Amino acid sequence: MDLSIHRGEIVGLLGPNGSGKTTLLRLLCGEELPDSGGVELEGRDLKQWSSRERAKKMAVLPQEGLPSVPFTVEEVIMMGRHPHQGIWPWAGDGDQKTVERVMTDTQVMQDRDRPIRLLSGGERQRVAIAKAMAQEPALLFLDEPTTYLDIAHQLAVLDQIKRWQQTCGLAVLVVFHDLNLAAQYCDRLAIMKEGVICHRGTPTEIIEESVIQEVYGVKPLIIRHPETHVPQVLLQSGKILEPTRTSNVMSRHG
Amino acid sequence: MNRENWAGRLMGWSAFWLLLLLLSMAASVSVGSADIRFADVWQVIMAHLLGKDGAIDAATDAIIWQLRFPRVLLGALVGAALAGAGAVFQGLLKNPLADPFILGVSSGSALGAAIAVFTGWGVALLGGWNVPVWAFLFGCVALFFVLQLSRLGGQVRTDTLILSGVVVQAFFGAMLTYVIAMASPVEIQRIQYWLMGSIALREWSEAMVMAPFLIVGMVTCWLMSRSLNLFALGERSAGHLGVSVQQTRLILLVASTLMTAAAVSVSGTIGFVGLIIPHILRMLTGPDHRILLPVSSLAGAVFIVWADTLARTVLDPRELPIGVITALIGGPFFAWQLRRYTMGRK
Repeated sequence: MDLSIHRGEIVGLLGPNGSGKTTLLRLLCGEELPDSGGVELEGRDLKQWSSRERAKKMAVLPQEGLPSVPFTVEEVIMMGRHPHQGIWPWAGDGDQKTVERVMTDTQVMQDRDRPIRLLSGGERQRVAIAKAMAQEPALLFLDEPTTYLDIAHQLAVLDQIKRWQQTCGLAVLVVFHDLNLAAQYCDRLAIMKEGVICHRGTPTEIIEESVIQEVYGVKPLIIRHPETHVPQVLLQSGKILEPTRTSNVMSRHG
Repeated sequence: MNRENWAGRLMGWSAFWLLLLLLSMAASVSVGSADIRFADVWQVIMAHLLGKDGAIDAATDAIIWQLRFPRVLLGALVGAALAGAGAVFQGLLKNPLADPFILGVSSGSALGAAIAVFTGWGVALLGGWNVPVWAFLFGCVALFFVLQLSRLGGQVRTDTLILSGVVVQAFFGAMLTYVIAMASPVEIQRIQYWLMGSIALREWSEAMVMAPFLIVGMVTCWLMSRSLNLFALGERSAGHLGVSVQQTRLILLVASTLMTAAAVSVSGTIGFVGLIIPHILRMLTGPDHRILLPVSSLAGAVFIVWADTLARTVLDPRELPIGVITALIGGPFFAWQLRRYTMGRK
């Protein structure tokens, strides 16, 4: 299995529950070590990077977003500067400028003194992105960033990522559940099944009836988006196929 | 917050609590069976610090400098250590109910200290440092047990953490009583001073032994306070922001156990200081540990100085163990916090 992410592209990682997306993400960001094979960042083995050096290069947005902390928006965004500052309490002169710029870009300026625990899920996700922007990485990992959000906030978050990616030439890897959003925002898609990447390609190549059917065991209806012309999936009730999965469930219970 | 901002707030709060501490210490020294004027206290202390002969009579001088001042100073050091350790434990375990006493670290340290005092093992090697070193080692053992017991699926949960603390505390408390009972029939009457804490009958030398432990622990924790802030986001997120999570956590746990052990080795187990003080201070100063740690320590010092003053004056001429005072305040506070915490989770 092989996956590479380049500067200036958004790669979407798809696959059913339990197909290994999250594990792959944890391997890629160095949280877990691979049993075999290796992960390289800018051509150097990830194990050779110190956690601080690594954090200067890559930022991670976990699925659950920011926890309910008493720190203010500004303080949390400043935490994104941590890898650049050194660990001592007094380090970090001049980082205020970056934080101010990020707060302006992400339109959280008016909330800067509010504690995170008073923010809604959508607002928190925006601050989480601002924190990642303050980190100034070259590579960004997102684990289902839109899971807990309504459609307006889903679009807001993804638009924000897209803008950032385009202005800074960022490399982005997003784990997606939503095939339609993935097709709209990603340059390339990789789709996983049972721990391996089984297909990769452009959205047009991946969002395809045969692929979806093979991986998810669902018979979809694929149409073209009338404006953007990217493929979109329509689901139909009663169209689950996948006989192997049913037998799995049966044998587990039996 | 930018640099000027947090540094400014740190200075402001520190100055306020330092002033309050100095006033409290002077007031505490002047309270007691022999009435001493506030002004005399200052005069004696300044005279000794500047190496001059005071114009005060020798008896007053001895009461202040040999009896009361060392005790008040020691109380301040104990309070600073316990409150500082409590602030670190709370930040690290992301748990508003963590405290050296509730986690059982104090009980472990007390057992270690008792073994050192009554057996004298290790004195030849370590001299005056013997008691705090034993207290530190046993504190680490207690902490290790509590964390192992409460770890479920790699995550430390609040309810199990507190239960584990209760178990470890009960066990080490029993061992402590046993060790003291073995040691001598006279000492068994003093058992409550170990279990409920006391800083009576202390001397200068004990403050001198304790201070370095406190300073090393406190400075270590403060230097890592910005990394400690990131633990609030969760250990994974802290790791993604460049914190070496395992290493940082280990250093902070050891340093705060060191502070606890230093306090326990001179005063026994005084409960709830590390719970109440950081909590109240967090409401005042905000959650930033760069400010919270030092200011909690100063406030803890003020708290213990007053608690000890109460302990030795309420039933004058008899004395209460100081832990009685702190538990009478801390118990209800803990109940209130526990209720708030469980309500907040539903």
